[in-house]
Amino acid sequence: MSLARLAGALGAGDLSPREAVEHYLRRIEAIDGELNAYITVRADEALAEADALERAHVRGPLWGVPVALKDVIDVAGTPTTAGSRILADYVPKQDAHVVVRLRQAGAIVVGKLNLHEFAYGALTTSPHFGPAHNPWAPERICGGSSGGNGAAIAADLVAGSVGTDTAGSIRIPSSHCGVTGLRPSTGLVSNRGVVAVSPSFDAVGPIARTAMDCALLLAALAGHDPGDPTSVDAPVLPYGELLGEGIRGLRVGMVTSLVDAADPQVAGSIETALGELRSLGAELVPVTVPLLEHAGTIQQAMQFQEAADAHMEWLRTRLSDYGADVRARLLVGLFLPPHVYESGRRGRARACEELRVIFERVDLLAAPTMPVLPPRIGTETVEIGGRETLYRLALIPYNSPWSLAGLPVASVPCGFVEGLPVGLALVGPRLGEPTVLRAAHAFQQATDWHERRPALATPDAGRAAPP
Amino acid sequence: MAATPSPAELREIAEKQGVFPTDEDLEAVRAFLAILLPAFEELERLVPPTAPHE
Repeated sequence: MSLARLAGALGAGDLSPREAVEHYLRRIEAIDGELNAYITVRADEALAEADALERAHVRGPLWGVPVALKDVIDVAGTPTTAGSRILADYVPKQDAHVVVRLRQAGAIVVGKLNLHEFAYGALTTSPHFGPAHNPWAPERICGGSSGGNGAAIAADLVAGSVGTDTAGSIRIPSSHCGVTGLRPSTGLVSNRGVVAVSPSFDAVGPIARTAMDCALLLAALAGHDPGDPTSVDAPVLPYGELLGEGIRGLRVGMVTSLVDAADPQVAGSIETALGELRSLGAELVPVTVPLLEHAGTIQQAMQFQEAADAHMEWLRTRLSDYGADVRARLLVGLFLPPHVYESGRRGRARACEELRVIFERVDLLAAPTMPVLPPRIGTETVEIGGRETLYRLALIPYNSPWSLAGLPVASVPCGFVEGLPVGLALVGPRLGEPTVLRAAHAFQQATDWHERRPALATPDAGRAAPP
Repeated sequence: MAATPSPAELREIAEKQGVFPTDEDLEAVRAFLAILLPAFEELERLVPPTAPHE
């Protein structure tokens, strides 16, 4: 059941918050042993919070809705491990700002989700907590770093979730797991109480079943936070109420270089999806993004040093407690001269300006979220058009350009290849979430890719669906 | 084009910052730097310090 339908059923009194929580707890118990989507399940706390909600006089828009959080987001009294050994015993005393907002909206946090260690990688194969398994093919990765979110939503182990995205970490698992994710404009959602990767690019956002679900979650999450220096003072919009206008006349720029460079079967799904947007009334125009091939370099020029700065004390005192890949990535930041960071800042300024000019001609950009299908766990390379390349390098041109400019991006399921999902990225201008979500919603009204579920997510797994 | 620093050079830089990586760590870092340093040099040429877009 989608979050929107569940919220409607709760509001109508068709089921209680306790029944909703119990439903997902049963499913987690029955299914998550195969997936490892959760690091922590807050069973007792969530049930107590559900009971408290039933006694409350005020009912927010997410009243009684169970949600789960990537395990970098603080919930008071519950461990925030960041998928790491270093923070394995860390129990925050305060909720993250977004958790405060979720609670105000009436949501119930049922657990914390698996991720790539410290959200610094795209595999979600933590050496400390084990890999998250893709519900469509458990021998394959979920992507990352919010991989547990992708698995939990695809397998219907929670109604909605919140992840983080620095260079693709919401979009990649959304694509690989066949669910819908939104990386909001940088600064629209507070990062306070969230373990940082690279503050210039970090963004908190929803991963759920549908664009409508993401819109409802975003409406709860977004809002200026004076306690977060990266937070922007933008109006909070009722995103869920802004989806109904369709996309007739919308100008959608196809980033043809990214379509052409993708795996041919993935590109085929994307082209079909673009045809669907055209049939819904959008005007498709090919677009060239000038700095596209350098976007990854520009982001890395800043990100490596920011990540190393954030981890410096642990690099000095706990170096051997990092997994090997994250340790190497963090160490890189120690060896880059300061002028590299400055060229990154200049490159970002130019990329932002070039994208701003492009968005004078189009309302949205469209591209594959990922150029490839999810690889098998333990595989570091992928093949694109007969050429083998490192997975971690293949994903960069598809994700960094939009992170770099702080743009909102939705990934929506748009097809299957060999039984594995493919995601379409819809990119908007800064603070263009209403248009991004409207287009994603229109696409989902016309297609059913987002409704398909893996076999292990059948409604009777963990007994019955909510009444 | 800048050569990738040797493990000894990297170790010296790390230790000055109070960080003590293993030989394996430094080899992994060198694999990253072999790709990154030429890309950063190209970026420097693309957006030099006097770039008008800054």
